[in-house]
Amino acid sequence: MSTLNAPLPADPRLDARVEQQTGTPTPASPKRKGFGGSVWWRHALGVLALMWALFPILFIYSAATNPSGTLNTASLWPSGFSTANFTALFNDSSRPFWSWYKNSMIISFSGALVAVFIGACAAFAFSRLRFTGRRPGMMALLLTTFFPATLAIVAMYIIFAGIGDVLPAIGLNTVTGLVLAYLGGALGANVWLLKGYFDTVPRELDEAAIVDGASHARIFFTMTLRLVMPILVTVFMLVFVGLYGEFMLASVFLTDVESQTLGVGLYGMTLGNDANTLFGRFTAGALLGSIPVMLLYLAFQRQLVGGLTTGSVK
Amino acid sequence: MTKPIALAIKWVLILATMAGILWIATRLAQAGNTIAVIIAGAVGMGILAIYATRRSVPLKYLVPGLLFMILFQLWPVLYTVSLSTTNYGDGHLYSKQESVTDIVAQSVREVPNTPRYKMSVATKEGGDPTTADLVLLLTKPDGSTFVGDKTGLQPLAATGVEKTSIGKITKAPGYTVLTAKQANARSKDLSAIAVPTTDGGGIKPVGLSEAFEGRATVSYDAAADRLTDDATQPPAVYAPKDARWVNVADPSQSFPQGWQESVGLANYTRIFTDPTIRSGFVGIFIWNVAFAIASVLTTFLLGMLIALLFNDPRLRGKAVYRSLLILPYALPGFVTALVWKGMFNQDYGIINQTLGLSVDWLGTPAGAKAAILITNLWLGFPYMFIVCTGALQSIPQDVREAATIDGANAFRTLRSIIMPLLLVAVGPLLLASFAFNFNNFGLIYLLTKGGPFNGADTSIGSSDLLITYAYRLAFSGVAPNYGFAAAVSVVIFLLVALMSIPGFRRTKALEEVN
Amino acid sequence: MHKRALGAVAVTGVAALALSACGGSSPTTPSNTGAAGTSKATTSGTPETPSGTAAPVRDANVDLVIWTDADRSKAVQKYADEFAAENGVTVKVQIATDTRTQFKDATKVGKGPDVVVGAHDWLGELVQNSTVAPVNLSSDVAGKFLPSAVAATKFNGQAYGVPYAVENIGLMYNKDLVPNPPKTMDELVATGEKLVKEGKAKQVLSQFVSKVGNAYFAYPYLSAFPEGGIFATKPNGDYDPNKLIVNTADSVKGGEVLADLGKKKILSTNVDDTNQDALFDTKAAPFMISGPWSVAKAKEAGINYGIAPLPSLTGGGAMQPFLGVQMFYVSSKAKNAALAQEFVTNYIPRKDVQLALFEVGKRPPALKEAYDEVAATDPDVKAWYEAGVDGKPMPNIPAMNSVWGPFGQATADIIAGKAGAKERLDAAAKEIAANIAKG
Repeated sequence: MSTLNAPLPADPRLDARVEQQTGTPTPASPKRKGFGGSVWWRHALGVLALMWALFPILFIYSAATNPSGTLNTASLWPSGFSTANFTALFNDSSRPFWSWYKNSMIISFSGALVAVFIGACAAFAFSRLRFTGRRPGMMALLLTTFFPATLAIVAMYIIFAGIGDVLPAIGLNTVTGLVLAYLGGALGANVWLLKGYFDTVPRELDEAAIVDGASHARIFFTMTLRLVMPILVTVFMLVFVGLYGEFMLASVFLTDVESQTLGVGLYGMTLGNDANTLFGRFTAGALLGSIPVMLLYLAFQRQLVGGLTTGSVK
Repeated sequence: MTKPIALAIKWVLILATMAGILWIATRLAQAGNTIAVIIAGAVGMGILAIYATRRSVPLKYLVPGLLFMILFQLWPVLYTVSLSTTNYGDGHLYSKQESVTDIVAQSVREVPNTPRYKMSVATKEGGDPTTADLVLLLTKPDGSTFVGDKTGLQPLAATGVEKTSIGKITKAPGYTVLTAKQANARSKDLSAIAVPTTDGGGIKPVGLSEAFEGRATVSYDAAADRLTDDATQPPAVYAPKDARWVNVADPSQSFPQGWQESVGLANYTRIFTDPTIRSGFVGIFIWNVAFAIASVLTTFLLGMLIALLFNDPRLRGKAVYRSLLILPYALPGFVTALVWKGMFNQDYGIINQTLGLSVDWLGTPAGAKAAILITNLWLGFPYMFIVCTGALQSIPQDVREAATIDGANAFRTLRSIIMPLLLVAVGPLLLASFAFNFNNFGLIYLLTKGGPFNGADTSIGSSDLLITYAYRLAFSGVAPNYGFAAAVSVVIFLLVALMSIPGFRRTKALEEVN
Repeated sequence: MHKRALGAVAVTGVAALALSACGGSSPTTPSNTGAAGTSKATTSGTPETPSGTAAPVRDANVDLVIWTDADRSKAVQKYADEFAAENGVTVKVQIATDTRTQFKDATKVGKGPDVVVGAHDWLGELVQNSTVAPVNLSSDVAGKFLPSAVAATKFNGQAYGVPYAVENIGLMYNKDLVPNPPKTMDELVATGEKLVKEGKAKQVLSQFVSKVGNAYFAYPYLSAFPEGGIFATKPNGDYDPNKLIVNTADSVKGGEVLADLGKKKILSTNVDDTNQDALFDTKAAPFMISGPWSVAKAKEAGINYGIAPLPSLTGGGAMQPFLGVQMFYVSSKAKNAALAQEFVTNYIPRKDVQLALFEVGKRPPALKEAYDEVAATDPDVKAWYEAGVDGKPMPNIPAMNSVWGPFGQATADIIAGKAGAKERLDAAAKEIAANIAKG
């Protein structure tokens, strides 16, 4: 897939891409035979997949809407509907659910945005530019993700405590510091994912632009970034969800309850006897917490799967 | 965007970055951290050289990510590696000197049959409350008043002295009583005060309104490097051994406060010589590799198949399907892992109840392994689903559609066209996923804690991964040994890296095929 | 970063360790528990003191910082405000989610609080890490507390805090099914089995065992016999880490009881913290061995519950639970040591403070005067107190870290019938001794 010196268009996909880019209509695919072109079997399998994905969540839902709120081991189906757990969740000033929510959104959103940007920059370099150490560099990126993250958190804590002494604005207990810490992992495997997609954007587009006198920065910002939107969105999603659910680093970082994230707050509810007494609220919070991710996915759906509709460069 | 504007933006950014680095360097200089100042300077110069000149275009794109990676990923890792050559862990966090100070300070006991004083903190009249020598204004239970400082205890004439109802002095001629806030600001000095008394003890404050006569039973002889505790008769003598103070007469007794010291490669030697590790290693390693591979394969296959399933333009309601399918991913993993654990319960779990089984999922080796793989499949497939859906977009529509042809043909297209193309894009992610699952500590701990065990002890669990196993070894002592755990992490990292070599080769080959 | 994604559990390594807590001893003192006390993994911190001078993370205008858990924060806040007004200082109460770990971590890097609210069994570990300072109560003030509570605040003869509540497990029973609590385990089993036979219950007893075992809940079976238990005590009353008694003849007798109850399906490794309350609250089990933390749920579920001391075992005496004591610690690295000591020694021994803390936690207060007052009106509190009146404090020595995992697993294996009581406890003793020897 690397276009490394490959004569264009060695990759059959490039033809298609070029067609798409240049606006040549792709001929509509012929209607298929078989089951009369029906998609019922896809629905059937889809429903099956949904059942697999959702039945544990049904469990969580029943716990959340069950006022006695224990993980009642026998009932998969909700036994009635009660908002008691939700009300309790919203009215506990020592566990400020909405603050957590807000903090999570800020951290995940800003973290994911910056991570995608610096990841895209790096991927552009790896995909489009030739330099010594390119391939070893990519290998090294992947290698960094192999270290058991569990232990590095301890070191991270020590390091940020020291940073906070000099630069309080990014030390422990600051949202900025946490986002920065997360950005340490922004490259890693994401760059591979991004680079793979970057490679499928035909180099001849770049070359044409260069002939027109465009600088590399101009090509990157005005052309490449737009062409690779689907993968940017995909990586954004992945990073967003990753940060959104992260609580380990966050829980050592953010000790003040008002500055905590949803993950840390919810995790705190599973500690000690809280696991038992707060289970209902905890599941209610987890369900509410999953909404932004779903909404985000819905909103991005077009970019994620819609193909390149925005790509016309000319 | 026209060129001048772009140029202007570029320079504004460069200048802003330089200003930021300058500010950081100033702060570092104030904190007296010379090395950090030099590094900050070097980074600043580097950034200037890269962005202000036309040289090294690749670095212009790599520097932002690299900076973050070096600072917040490599540095912590290197830090961890450096800790692996120490005995760092509970009871071994501070220096030897600090352990002595702490042990001596903690040995202060109230001298029997001495009075409790009511106390106020004061300075000589006119003294600066932030710096002047502190004196303690003391009231005995019988109401008599005293002044104490480092020279000793003097009676304080009652004339002009005002006291609260409990006897705390609020005013005394010749002295200025400090407010709580002022006194608190002198906490360090207060904790050092001990008004000497005739019987060898010292009057020490408790908080801000009480004082007691205490005496440290432990003393340190720096010349002999010994601690002596005279609380018992004969006094117990402690000598340094293995970074702890150990009783010379009875080596089973020691102070809990030890100190941090370098142990060289001892942690690594222990990994390779510890008989428990050796006896368990092979079995655990095999399961660990199998677990990681199976997790990657199952999640990838399921994720990919579902991605392909919904890759049909004619299918309605894809958005709904897809959004619901990523729900397992949207919920925090520790929530769902807890739920899965409940579902696998032999007596009360929904799985056995629905299927009419009585499988002891979490109590038998095979059951536990199956439960772990199933849970991990559920937790992990949406990730692969999203990744594959994204990567599929880089495969042209006609190729994709070829894969949707029903029947055996589709399978062949899948195997020979779609999968190779997908693998190019996601291959590295599979490697990362392998590495991650290889160390998937959280999952194992939430579900089985490494168990079930063999029924004899807790050294080797049948669902243990190397990391859970080693951590149990490292943290099951009286003082959890972080240095050892760090060494284990390093070894595991090397193992994973070694095992990934074929994977690396394969990604390279795939890349070149295209 | 992407990998955090793959099941957020993932990242957690460390967290999971802490989570393991839930599987361990008393739910209120989760810290100690879990296989091999792995919660320690969260231990982080620094050997060096951070560069620079004062740590600026803390608000410079705050004169006293107190950490507590969410439930107690309101009560603590009230008296912190009073203290602030009285002394003309500012006090900040912060809520910690995982107090034990966060306190250790933050203190090691110089960012910790001045005062922390926690459980007494953290003490050995906190002393080991030079994290807490002695708190010297005068003997007449100390005399106002329950002696066992004061004893629990001591380590090597030194006192490290002021207690405010005690807690222990007892026998909860459903009064609708069982009018009078059984005095012996045999009676309990007979009553329960009859109810099961009549279809009024599905099982006899709900007790937290779990696949990895729970040392805290299993200990009373051993302590019912005179020489049974975990550690013997030194002459001064401290636990002696060198005298392990988990496999004495008496401990083995307790083990035999576990084996017998396991065989009869009275105890099951399938009951754990996620379902033990549910079993009692849905009337599936007429008996539950648990602590004050289970009361609120039972009340919500409308169970007509009673609380009684643990039953006695044939051939031995009554099962004696571990006592957990909750207390206020002062950090050894407190930046405001003087105010911290002042607050802890002057405010916490007050009756109104102890009563306020009782209201939010519902544990018997540690101050006698306060206990007497609530015991007169609240039968639950009296019952809990009486269930633990002869119990011993949970060991607070660091060696306990080597016990939770191996001992808990041994009891689970015995209950599951995987091994005989004698051989399994012998093996556990050997394993624990080896762990302790690791230092």
